[in-house]
Order: sequence, then structure tokens, then C-alpha cells
Amino acid sequence: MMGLRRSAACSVLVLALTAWLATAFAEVGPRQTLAANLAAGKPTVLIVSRTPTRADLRSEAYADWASYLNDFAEEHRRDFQFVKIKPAELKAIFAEHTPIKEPFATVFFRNAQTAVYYDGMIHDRSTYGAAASFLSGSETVPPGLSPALKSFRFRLPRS
Amino acid sequence: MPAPDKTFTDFALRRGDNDKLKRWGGTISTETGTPVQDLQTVLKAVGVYDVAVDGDFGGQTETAVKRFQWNVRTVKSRLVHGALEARAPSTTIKVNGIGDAATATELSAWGAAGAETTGNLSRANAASFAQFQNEAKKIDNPTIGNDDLIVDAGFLAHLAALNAAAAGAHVKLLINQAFRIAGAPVGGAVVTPATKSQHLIGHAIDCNILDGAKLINSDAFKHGTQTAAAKAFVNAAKAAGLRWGGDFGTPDFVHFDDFVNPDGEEYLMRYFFNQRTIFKKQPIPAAA
Repeated sequence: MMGLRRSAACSVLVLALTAWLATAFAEVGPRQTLAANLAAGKPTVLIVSRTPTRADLRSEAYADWASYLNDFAEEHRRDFQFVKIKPAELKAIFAEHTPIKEPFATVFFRNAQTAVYYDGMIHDRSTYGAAASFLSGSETVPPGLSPALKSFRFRLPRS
Repeated sequence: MPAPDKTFTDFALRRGDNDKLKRWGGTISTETGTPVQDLQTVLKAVGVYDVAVDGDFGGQTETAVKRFQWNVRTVKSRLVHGALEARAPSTTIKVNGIGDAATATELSAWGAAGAETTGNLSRANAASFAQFQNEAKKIDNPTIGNDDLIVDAGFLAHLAALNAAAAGAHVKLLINQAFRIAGAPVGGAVVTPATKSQHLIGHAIDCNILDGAKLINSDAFKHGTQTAAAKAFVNAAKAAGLRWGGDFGTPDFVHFDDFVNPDGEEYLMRYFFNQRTIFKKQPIPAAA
């Protein structure tokens, strides 16, 4: 009888330990990072990018996109958070379909309620300038901020 | 009295030559010396050979010889004890990767002068182009001023063509970028940088068009809402021989270049020397 009790207690302990370890060492994915950033009020730039192909790495359009985006990140690393995902991960991050159709896109989250997006590769410095103003400035998307940036309606899934 | 050791000016050194094997100029010799090592030492001193001096003339030594030959044929300046010195490009040296008599003589003279190769970059002051407004990020180099555009000397004529096209169409150009440093920014990259681009050799420019007070951005071209003047500018630039990114499979409406084959020797040479110029913070001559 004592042996059975001991064995049951051991099993419970092992299960509890396993659950604790799973929680403690669970990989923090982009979904969790984005949710945590927004909950903490940190403006976040979500970069949607497929793994660049050999052709991408030799294309001028990709070269310009990567260069301006890396410059923007370099300039604003202290102001904004940057999270990168693959297009296939969009479904896991948002509770509803997003308007993003391109393999390269950027969503600028001012907070948990407000965001703007660009579906495609941004090649204009002025668009990044408008995005930076949006992220660090007004609570809502000012009309005419940049015709290139569109309002992004989103809902994060309940964790 | 023993015969003096032979050096690299005594043979037309080539791939396969090796000091230990005493194979010089493609044949086994009975002479003494370390000509391949001597050659590699001078190639290193002139800035075209970055690996070990080992007396073995392999692919890297051949590439280094080609770099030197290309440089002396193309670049109109060199560095002597760190200072720029104008020079007339050679018309006699061939880019063949062989340390032939003409190459060896030139290389020997450079070594004696303490000269080093530099890139083919040029500083073009944006203010000298009436239609340009420079918005490009300044490259870290002591000789580059705030209003300087950095391009390969071979692209300077295209800057003038773009300026003329803009003047003809009565638009201004906001220049966003010209030469681009390869790789990730100092703080790291959020996305993988491209491996090939005309910007990496200084043969491209990105610009937005300003028609009066209206900024014509990529979306205007994408949706066909660009002005007639913007269209006229693009057509004039293309007529002047430039390639426009708006015509690419993945459009890049801000981009103009003159396309140097990214798999060809011209591209590789310009990439090596121009990126090295920036990396080593070498002085860059002002456009003539």
C-alpha cells in the first residue's frame, strides 16, 4: 500500500516538474514577443519576410528594401522593437485574416490598438519617416500621414 | 661569386609556379631565389593580396595579379604613403593573371614608390547638380562632405544625365542613396542584406521625384498616379541609357543604374576596390 502511494506521489511530482520545465523553457515565439511588447506599450515593427531566395539576394528591389529597412532599424533600435516573421506565421499571430498578400511586408504597431502597414517592399525613405512619426507620435493614424501606409485592423488571439 | 637570387621580374610567373618546386614561368629552374614569395609580398603591399605569402602561385595569387592589372588599367589615382596621387591608367598591361614583363615592371615600380591601390570611387557634390537634393545617409569617411554623393567614377556621366533629364522635365530629385556599403550595419541587420547590387559598386542611384511641391513616391507609380512630368523624367533618363527599376519584374521605382554584369570581372573588380576604399577609409578624390 505504502509502495503504491509512494509511486503515485512520484508520478505526480514528475508530471509537475515536466509541466514546470515545459513552461520555463518554452520557446518565446514572435507571437508572444509581439503580445508582450504591445502589452508593455512598446511600439513594435513587425517585419514579414519570406526566407530570401538566391534570386532575391541578387535583385535590386530586394537590395533596396533590405538596405532601407536595416538603416531604419539601426536608427530606431532604441525607440522601437523589431520582430521578424515568415508570411506563413501570420495566421498564428493574428486571430483574423490580415490584408497582407505579399511575401515582404511591414506592420508598424503604435500600441495594442493602432497599427499601420505596407504590403510589399518599402523603397521610399519618406515612408519610413512617416512610420517613425506614427510610431512615436499620435495615438491614431493621422489622415494623410502617408498614402503608402494603410490602417491595419487586427486582433491578437487570446493566449 | 654565386649568381644573385632571382625575383619576380625575372620570370613571367603564372598559376602553378612554386618556389619549393623551383617552378617559375611554367618551367623547372636551376636558379635560386623566392620569386613567387617576392611577388606575393609586393601584391600584399599594394593592397590586392590578403592571404598568406607562401611561395605557391595558386588561384588567390592569380586573382591578386588580375586585380593589380585591372587597377592600373582603370583607376586614375593611387595612394602614396596614404595620400592620393593622380596617375594615367596604363594601356599596355593586360588583365591576364600572369606576372608578365609589363606587369612585373609596373608592380616593382609601385613597390619601390611605396604606392597602394585604391578604388574607383568619386565624390560628386550634389550642389553642383541644379536638380538634385541630397537626402542620402553620409558614409563614414574623412574626405566625404555632407553634400557629397559617392559613386564609381564610371557612373559620373550618368549623374549628369539624370540631372539633365530632371531639368528637361522640370522636376527635382531627392537622392536617397548612391554607393552602398556591403553587409550588415554596425548594429546588425534585421533582414539579410543582398549579395549583389549595382549600389555595391557605385553604379546606381535611388531617388524620389519632386514635381513642384508634390512628392512622387513608389505608390504613385504603382497606382499610375504619377504626374506627367515624373513620367517625362523617367523616359528621358531611360533614353540617356539608364535602366529604371520600375521596369523590373519586382518593381523598384526609385532605382536607376547602368547595369554592370554582376557575374563579370568588371563588377568583381569594382566591388573589391570600391568596398575596400570605404572599409579602409581611404581618401576619395573629388569628381573632376
